[in-house]
Amino acid sequence: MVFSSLYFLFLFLPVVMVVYFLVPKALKNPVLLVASIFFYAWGEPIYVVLMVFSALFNYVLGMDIGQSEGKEKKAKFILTLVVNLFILGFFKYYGFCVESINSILHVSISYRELSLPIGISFYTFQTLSYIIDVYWGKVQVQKNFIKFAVYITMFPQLIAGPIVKYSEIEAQMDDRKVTPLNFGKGMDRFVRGLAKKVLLANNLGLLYTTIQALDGRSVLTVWLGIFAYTLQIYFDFSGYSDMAIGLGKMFGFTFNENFNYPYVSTTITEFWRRWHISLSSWFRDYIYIPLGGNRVGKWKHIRNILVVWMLTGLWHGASWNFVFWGVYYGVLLLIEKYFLASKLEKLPKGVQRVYAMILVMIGWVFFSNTDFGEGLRYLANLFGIGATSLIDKAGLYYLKSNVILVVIGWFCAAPGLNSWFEGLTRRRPYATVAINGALYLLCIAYLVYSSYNPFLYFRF
Amino acid sequence: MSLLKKKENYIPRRVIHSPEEETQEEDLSYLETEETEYEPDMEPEYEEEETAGHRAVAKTADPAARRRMIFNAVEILLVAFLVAYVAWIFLKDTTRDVDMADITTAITQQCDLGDLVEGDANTLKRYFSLDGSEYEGYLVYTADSVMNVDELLIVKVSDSSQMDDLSEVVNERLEEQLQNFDGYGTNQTELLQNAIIVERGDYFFYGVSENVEQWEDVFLSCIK
Repeated sequence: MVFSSLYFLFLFLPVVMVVYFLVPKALKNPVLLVASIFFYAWGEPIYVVLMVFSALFNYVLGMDIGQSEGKEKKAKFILTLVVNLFILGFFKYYGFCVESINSILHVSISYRELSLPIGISFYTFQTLSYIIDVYWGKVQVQKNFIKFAVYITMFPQLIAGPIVKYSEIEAQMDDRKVTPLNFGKGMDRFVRGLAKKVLLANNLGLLYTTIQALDGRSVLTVWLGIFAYTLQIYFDFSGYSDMAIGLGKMFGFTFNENFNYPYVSTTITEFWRRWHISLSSWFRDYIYIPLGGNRVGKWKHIRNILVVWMLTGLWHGASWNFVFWGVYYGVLLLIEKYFLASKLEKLPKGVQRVYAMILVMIGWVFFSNTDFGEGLRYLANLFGIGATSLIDKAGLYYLKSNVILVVIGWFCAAPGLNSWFEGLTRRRPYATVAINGALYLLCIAYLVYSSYNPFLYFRF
Repeated sequence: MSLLKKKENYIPRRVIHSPEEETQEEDLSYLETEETEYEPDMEPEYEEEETAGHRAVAKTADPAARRRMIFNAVEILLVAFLVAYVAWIFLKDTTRDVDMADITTAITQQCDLGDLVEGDANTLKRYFSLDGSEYEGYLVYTADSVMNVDELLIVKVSDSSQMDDLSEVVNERLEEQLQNFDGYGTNQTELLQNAIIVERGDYFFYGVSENVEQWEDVFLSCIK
């Protein structure tokens, strides 16, 4: 089930809300657990077993690690890491590994592609954060299985994040309050996320899909296409994060922000401080810093960066284009760190933004094309190589028919509009309620009449 | 000698320095929890006097050892469950190697295909932009009216890597059809929204029809 579906909006959410607020405090976590399992089972009846297993296994091992000492503790910790990584590796990377072996060694090992359990990358990273923090003694062992299972399976952030570290939510498992103000703020955030997803991301996605399928493309067309995708992936993913954060608030949880207007970044380093913050901080805390971070020699630092970014790429998908995409960012970050940072600072802000934006858009070319060759062709088209012309009729047509959408998208991706909206909320709260109501109705109308409702971050 | 008696023997060896600890010494309840009572230098005497059976009982009675044993047992069970589950997931969709001619016979004999017309390589090219010669076999049925969205495609791939392209092409076809009928063809849109796409082993199934579930059942019964 996805948030942007009519079943969720008109059946699941209202029923869960009513039951959740009617039951006494002691039953709120069990209600949330049952609802979350139902939510997941709606689309993944087979893999719900895997998710519940993951919760149970990590709960037991967490307790064991918490009570063990010395070598035994280390052995149990390693066992937990191995099993979690095996689950993730088997269900996500098995086909990719066999395919890679086949193409590298020119052999023909037959394999059967398994369907990817939705949200496996998100909930595995959550369980790993808990286990590692228990091992390091950073968090207390959760002895209540219901509470632990709620942390792993909680439907607002289960299938597309943000990746919530146990340390961030530990206290909220026992004690959380839903105030009318927070509930209202949660609804506001949810509606804004829904509008980002349904009204902006879906329409921008249609534009990019159309352009991607064209045989002959002009430079204008391909730039328009990749700009549309750049906006689509932001609204798609940040919209889903907004909905998750909003839903969390409505149930009394506070999740950390996952996006902070990434497209206003002036450098790639800044971009990754603003994009998918929960994933970047996970890799920083559990891979980069344990490897030594930047407090090591130059070459080890370079190794650390490249390892982290290769893994970041691989986390996004079992395909070489994602590995390339990750390493691309690793190399860019190293170039900025060792050569460009001081030079970039001297440039006007506008130029810095254009620099960052172009590199990010090139990154999305490889991200959106799982076929590496197709990605390279698209990239070549961007710079006129293999393009039909600089500007053609098709490009002008797509530009004219989508210019309003793209301009609205650009304004919504920048902080100005949001600041204005928050100011309006303080000055005239009823006006924002009316705007949110209108946006919600528009989303519903769109969902009823449109069949195109993809979700990019599902495959992760 | 019982475990309790054995432990009592150790009490004098735990030299108590403070009055508080002395009080604790008198409280025999700690005997039930302290694994540290068994100091290494005590082991020979213990081993000489206890039989293997007694020792097993003694270890089980030790709460820390019991805890370890329970955790180990639960963990072994969980790992065994995971192995069984993964094996089941892996094997459940395993298919038989069936000739496409057999599938065609089963489909035509057991399914209600309505007004659908059997297609050939040109149909495959025209509707799905697929080259039939690249696959081990295929079966395609399409409607003769543009207002009829019913269609059936079953492909046996030569190489599992063809599945991704096949899936992509069929999804594009479905998307295109949905766009064609979006807004005015309510029945057609509903049928397209209920289209079934199945990937099993080397077989790919795509069907749009009121009877699509029956088609799917017949197809699955052929390859299982």
